[in-house]
Amino acid sequence: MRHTSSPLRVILSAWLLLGVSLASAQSRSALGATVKPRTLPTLGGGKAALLQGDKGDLVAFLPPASHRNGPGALVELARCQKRLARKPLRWVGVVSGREEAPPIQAALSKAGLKLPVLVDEGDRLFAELSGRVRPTVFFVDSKHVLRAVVPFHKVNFCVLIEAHARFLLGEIDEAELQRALHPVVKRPTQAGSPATRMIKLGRMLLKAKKLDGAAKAARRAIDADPKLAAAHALLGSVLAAQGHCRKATAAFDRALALDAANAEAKDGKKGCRSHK
Amino acid sequence: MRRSFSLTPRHTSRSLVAALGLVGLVGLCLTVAPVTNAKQRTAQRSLLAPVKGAKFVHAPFEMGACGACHERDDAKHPGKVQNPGDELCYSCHEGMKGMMDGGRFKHAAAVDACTNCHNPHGSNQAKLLTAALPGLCTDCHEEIKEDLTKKVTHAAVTQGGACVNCHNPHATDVEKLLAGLPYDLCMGCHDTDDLKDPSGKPLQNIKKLVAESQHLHSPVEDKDCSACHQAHGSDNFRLLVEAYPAPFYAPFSEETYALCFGCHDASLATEKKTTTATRFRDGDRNLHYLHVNKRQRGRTCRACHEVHAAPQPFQIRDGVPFGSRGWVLKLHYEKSKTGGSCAKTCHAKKTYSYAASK
Repeated sequence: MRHTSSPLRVILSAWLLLGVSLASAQSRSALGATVKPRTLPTLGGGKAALLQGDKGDLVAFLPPASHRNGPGALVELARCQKRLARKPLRWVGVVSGREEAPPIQAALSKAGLKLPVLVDEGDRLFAELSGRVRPTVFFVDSKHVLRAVVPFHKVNFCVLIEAHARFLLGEIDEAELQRALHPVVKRPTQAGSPATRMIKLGRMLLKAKKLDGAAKAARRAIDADPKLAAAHALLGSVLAAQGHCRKATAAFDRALALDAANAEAKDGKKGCRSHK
Repeated sequence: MRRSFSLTPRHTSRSLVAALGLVGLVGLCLTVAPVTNAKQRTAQRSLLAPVKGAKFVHAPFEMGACGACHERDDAKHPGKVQNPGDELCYSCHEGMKGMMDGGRFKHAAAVDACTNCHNPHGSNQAKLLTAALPGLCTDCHEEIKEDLTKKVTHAAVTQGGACVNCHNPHATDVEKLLAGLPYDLCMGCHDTDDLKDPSGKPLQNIKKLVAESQHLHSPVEDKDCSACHQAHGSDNFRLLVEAYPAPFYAPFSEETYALCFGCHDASLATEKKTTTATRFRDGDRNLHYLHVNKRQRGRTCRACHEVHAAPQPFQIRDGVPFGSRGWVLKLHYEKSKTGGSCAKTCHAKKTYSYAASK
């Protein structure tokens, strides 16, 4: 890889190395760095500014027409664009200078994605922004600072874009952004309380004077959540309805031990006492 | 003049053939046309008669509280359901209403009616499902049914809770009704040293690898395992969504690396000289091209890169398993400001710099 060279060549190479390194350091954007505004050629043959949005720009590096994820990604971007249609954020697309215009234009049209498309000759801008995959969406704020980078995700791509867009526009705070970026796992069995359901059923059966069923429901509620005062209170009410005041009082007492303010237990106990 | 037509023998034979053909065509349609589609089957299922001797019984039905849902509290003549639709179910299953309302992505079948999937009287399936999983789901999601028959299967789909191992069939905040981000779900199982693939080969403990590594592949960092893996089933090894060579060496073609080039630009391996496609270059001499782009013995990406995560930048491996005896080929990679070096086993220490003069 390395070749022997004359002293002059070594000195010149060193200067070149230094120059390139410095240039790279200055032009290599990263999160928080300033993106230099510039004008680039457009796919249609004109020129347009890269950064123009009053409130910020969403710069979407688009996939080549031949990319496996290309069509799906463009559809997702289009869907996202519709969702964010009323937001004051300028959308601009960027394609590699290696791409032919007609397939890109056809792909955009098919996906329904409407945005000016700039041409990144030599992929310089992509390299400058440290892009690694396409599509990637870069968020640049009104002061031209690179605020967020969202590479393509098969799942939740638009959720992420929307969250970053809204955060950039000040519509959501950091906590809400993080919740969108890191949703909590929600299993189907986590919803609701079996004990509460049994209590509702038990009350229904008690009202319909189906006392055996009501008692069964109350006991199931207690099994599901032994510390739920309402379950013990319901059992007490059922037992009282069945004429078993002593057992009912014991149930009411258990309810009141768990929750001294439980109205059903208080009233039920009074009712049983007055029947004695 | 009134036209008359009489059947001559020639006409008769033609007409007979035509008639027979028509009958045959109708018969063919009747035999091959689907008797019911998934929606119709769902509709049929929604008749939802009580199942005799059901293993799991809905509590109101078990306790004879027909009036909880029907017009009358009469087991023999309960009448119509009071309020067909989910609201009736939510009157007891309040938590489910909260889940449906709170989820950004909702299952259309659940929004339509709980009874699309649940029998409100009883069932031989847990959770009162009208059919066993995954069949209940693939009745509508036919494309998934196809994936289940592919060469490489996924235990998460074929065992235990099947579809609900990963999906919440009601509502969630993650697309595809996933219960969580792909990574969070996958790590529920891929966090052990004991896991094996269907052929018995041990699988990497991904959670441990990620925990011990500083440098993560972007999809892993973004918790998007589905970027590379098809969780339902695939014809590619390791449930990969696209082709990727399993061995150490492979002839190069863009199709062979379809998985990688789904995101990465193929130019990083197809351009002999470049100053933008990759930083793994010595000046403009593309070293990815040098290593990978060969007709027979191209080094596959995994020769140098750990696909998920690694302690070194660019996920460069410490070493790669080589051959069938478990010998590890060390790379001795060292990063420098403008490049790096590898010292070998394959070759003497070689240094590169993307800032070198051309």
